[in-house]
Amino acid sequence: MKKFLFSIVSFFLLCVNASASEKLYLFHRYDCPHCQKEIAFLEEIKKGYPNVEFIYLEVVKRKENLKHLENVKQTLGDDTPYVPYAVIGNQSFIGFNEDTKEQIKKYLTYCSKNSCEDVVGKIIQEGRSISLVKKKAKTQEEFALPFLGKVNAKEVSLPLLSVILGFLDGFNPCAMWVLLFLISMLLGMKNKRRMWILGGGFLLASAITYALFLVAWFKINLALQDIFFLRTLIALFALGTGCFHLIRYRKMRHRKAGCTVVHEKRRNKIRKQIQMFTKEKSLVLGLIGVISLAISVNLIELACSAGFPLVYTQILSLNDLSFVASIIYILLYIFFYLIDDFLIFCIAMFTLKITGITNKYQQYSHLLGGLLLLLIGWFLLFHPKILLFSM
Amino acid sequence: MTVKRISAVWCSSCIVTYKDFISFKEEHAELPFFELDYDRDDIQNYHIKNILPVIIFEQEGREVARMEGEYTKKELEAMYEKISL
Repeated sequence: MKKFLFSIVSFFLLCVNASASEKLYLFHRYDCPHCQKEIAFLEEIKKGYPNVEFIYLEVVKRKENLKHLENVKQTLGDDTPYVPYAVIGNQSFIGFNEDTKEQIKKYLTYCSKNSCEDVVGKIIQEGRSISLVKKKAKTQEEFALPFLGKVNAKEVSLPLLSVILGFLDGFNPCAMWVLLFLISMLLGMKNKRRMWILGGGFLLASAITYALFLVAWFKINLALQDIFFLRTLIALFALGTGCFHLIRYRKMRHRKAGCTVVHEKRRNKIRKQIQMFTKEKSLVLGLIGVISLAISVNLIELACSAGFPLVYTQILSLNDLSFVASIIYILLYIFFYLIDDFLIFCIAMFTLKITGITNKYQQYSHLLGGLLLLLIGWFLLFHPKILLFSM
Repeated sequence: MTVKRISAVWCSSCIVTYKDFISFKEEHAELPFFELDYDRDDIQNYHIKNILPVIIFEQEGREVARMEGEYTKKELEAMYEKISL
């Protein structure tokens, strides 16, 4: 009975504006900042489309709207969990950014001139998902891969990009020499527990420092994403750093792989610090020293790899993910960023022998990283939609 | 002939090439080998540019060959053969 009454009320509400023949539905959450931005945008453009009715359906406080949203997604074949989720006719627009704005405007103009099927209206009226007469065109997103079976390109793209960028960023030798310094000192100790604690403390503090740095970039990108030239600036930065990596690759190609001797004064200072921390009688003081060293080294070395985190967090912010999802992606990036350091540390602790990674691979990481940054820069400038993996 | 190897504990390339150096050293027990640390030993006279590790072959106190950067045992043998001729 309740359902029946609600259907009648909903239908009545939908029919109130008789002059508006076309409808735009926006499913939103009251606590979602992107949703508020989209509502403000829709209110702003509303006047330009007098024959379109704008209907806002909140999905947290009104559970029935959530049910409608699920039915609409099922009908339109969208399996995304994200809002804002706008629908005009049988076309859905997930998330909100500069491209969504353009697409919504285009589709509103189209439906204003050519009548579009009111799919959401029908679903609300019937209280269940419906089958469309004219299904919206779906792009080929699923690929069959050996061993893995069917893989959805959009679902794996962002995690894969996180893994690749994190791994390439981790190949950066800037902070590696400090870890090797530390391991060489730790191996001189007799207390294995102390070795694990000090080395592990260094790696954990490095991970947290870098993660905080990425979160800060991500927040800045989110806060400034309405500034239209920010994406252009980051795109140009990606192109610049991409070229820098390719130049480094070219230089390295013509010489033998090896360790470059730099930062003479700083190296001596860090060596003395590590000696002091590892010889410290109090484990707590030694750990504090090692953690402070990890923080300072990672902060100083940020300049070494600014290109990757900045570009990566821009892609995350473009994808309009929830904060928790973004943090999970950042942690994935950090995991692969530190995987080589972690492996070197563990091998050293188990075998009590220091190990390293040949610098031969460094040139290939410059090549791959450079090409990837150029590609991302190009996409950010001319085809940002390609980077919207979650939509 | 004397063989000197200059390396550093923070240098990845020095670590990965160490095994080949030791193998070469074991096969040429007749030669005197010296291992110098870039940060701890006095290496000013060797004029190291900016790449490590460095292998220096000396004959009667005079440098006759130098290898900079990563090397394999095969490359060490080839260099030794070349200067021994």
